[in-house]
Amino acid sequence: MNPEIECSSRQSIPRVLYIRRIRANREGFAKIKVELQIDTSTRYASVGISSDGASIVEIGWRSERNHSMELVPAINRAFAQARRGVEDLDSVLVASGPGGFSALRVGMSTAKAIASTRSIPLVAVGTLDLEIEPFEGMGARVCALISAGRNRLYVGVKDPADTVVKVDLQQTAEFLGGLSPSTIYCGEAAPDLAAEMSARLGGSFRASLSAPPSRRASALARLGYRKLQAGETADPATVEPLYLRSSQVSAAARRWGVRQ
Amino acid sequence: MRACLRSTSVEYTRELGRVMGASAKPGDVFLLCGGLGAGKTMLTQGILWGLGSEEFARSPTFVLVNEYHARLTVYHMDLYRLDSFDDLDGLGLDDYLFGDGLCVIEWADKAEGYFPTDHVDVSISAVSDTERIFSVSSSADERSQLIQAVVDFGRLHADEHR
Ligand SMILES: Nc1ncnc2c1ncn2[C@@H]1O[C@H](COP(=O)(O)OP(=O)(O)OP(=O)(O)O)[C@@H](O)[C@H]1O
Ligand SMILES: [Mg+2]
Repeated sequence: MNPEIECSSRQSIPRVLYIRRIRANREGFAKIKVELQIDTSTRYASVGISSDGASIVEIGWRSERNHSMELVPAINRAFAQARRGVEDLDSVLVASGPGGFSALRVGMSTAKAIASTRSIPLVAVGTLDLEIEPFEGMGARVCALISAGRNRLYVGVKDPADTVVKVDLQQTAEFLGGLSPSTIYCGEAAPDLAAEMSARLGGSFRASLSAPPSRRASALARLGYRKLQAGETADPATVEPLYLRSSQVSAAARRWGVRQ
Repeated sequence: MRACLRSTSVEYTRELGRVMGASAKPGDVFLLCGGLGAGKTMLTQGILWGLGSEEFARSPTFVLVNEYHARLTVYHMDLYRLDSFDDLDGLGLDDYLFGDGLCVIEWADKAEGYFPTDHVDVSISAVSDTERIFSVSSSADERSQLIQAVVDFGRLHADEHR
């Protein structure tokens, strides 16, 4: 792990706060938990610090394939702003994809490194879950869209009764052919497709079309903390980003004699 | 759509590359197949020049991906040393293949079927020390303009030789 996380965060924490951190929670005398969020799924990356699942600080930025250079400084900035350090962490919450192949790996490997060197739990949360989170509880099907490059989309769908998000890799044309009026569309790629979707659905088109970034570290804090409490942690030694293959790749794999 | 050309010199091959580079669009994937010394890197050189780069194409055999910045970002790859699906799949080529640059991939036949279906196939066969037969084709309608440019280039030069 990068030792810089340790030094610079220590330096930035005044002595007084060292003492305050040991303070117990009044009600249960349980220590207030601190979580780190890392999401490098796409070029819109974010990190955050939360306490018992509620966000304290979040920092987001747009990266152009430079996550590896930007991530650790951003984490250090978040620690400084939250007046906490890596030694305060009780868990690491990481977005696990789908998203950019290299981009995801930067966040995942940093999260794994911090969790394993500090011996604290690692929780992986699906990236499309993070897009859907703000719209949960609206009683409708929610469909989140993230670009998978030219003419392809990662599509996440969650019905009100579902406990997990169904994740798929689709051609944009195929996706547009299956639009439904009772669904709320959201996600990083939704604004780009708004005109097309609106033309097809007319007045019944429902979507969140705010400009990216659409994923918040606060959503990762909330969902990750929920999973943590449910004991759904990941093994830092084996966890991998979610990688969806297109059908032709599976065919190529078969040609190589690889069973999937 | 398919174009068939006979190259009689390195210069001709580079000019052909220039035409392909000039017609390339964001997200294009050129798959180059042909044995050792067929002229894949020579063609790539022309492609780079056609995109306005002044760089010299170095063979990426040992680094796997060379990146050049011109009108489009060019990802020049060489899969020669690839010998398993896991190696291929662990490279994260999707970032390039489905990005906004141009992918030029030598020894693409090593990973047949792995690429976006709207790619451009370039197969090169050596008929003598200085002669190469190029076949440039694509099954995607969106690539017909590029193939047409190659056909036109072939005609122009066939006329010159007459
Ligand atoms: N008409 C021609 N077009 C291209 N190259 C030619 C031609 N005639 C002769 N050559 C020679 O063929 C060789 C082509 O080399 P190049 O590096 O482009 O091959 P390659 O297909 O990239 O091989 P490798 O598989 O080793 O990467 C050069 O030495 C070049 O001088
Ligand atoms: Mg070569």
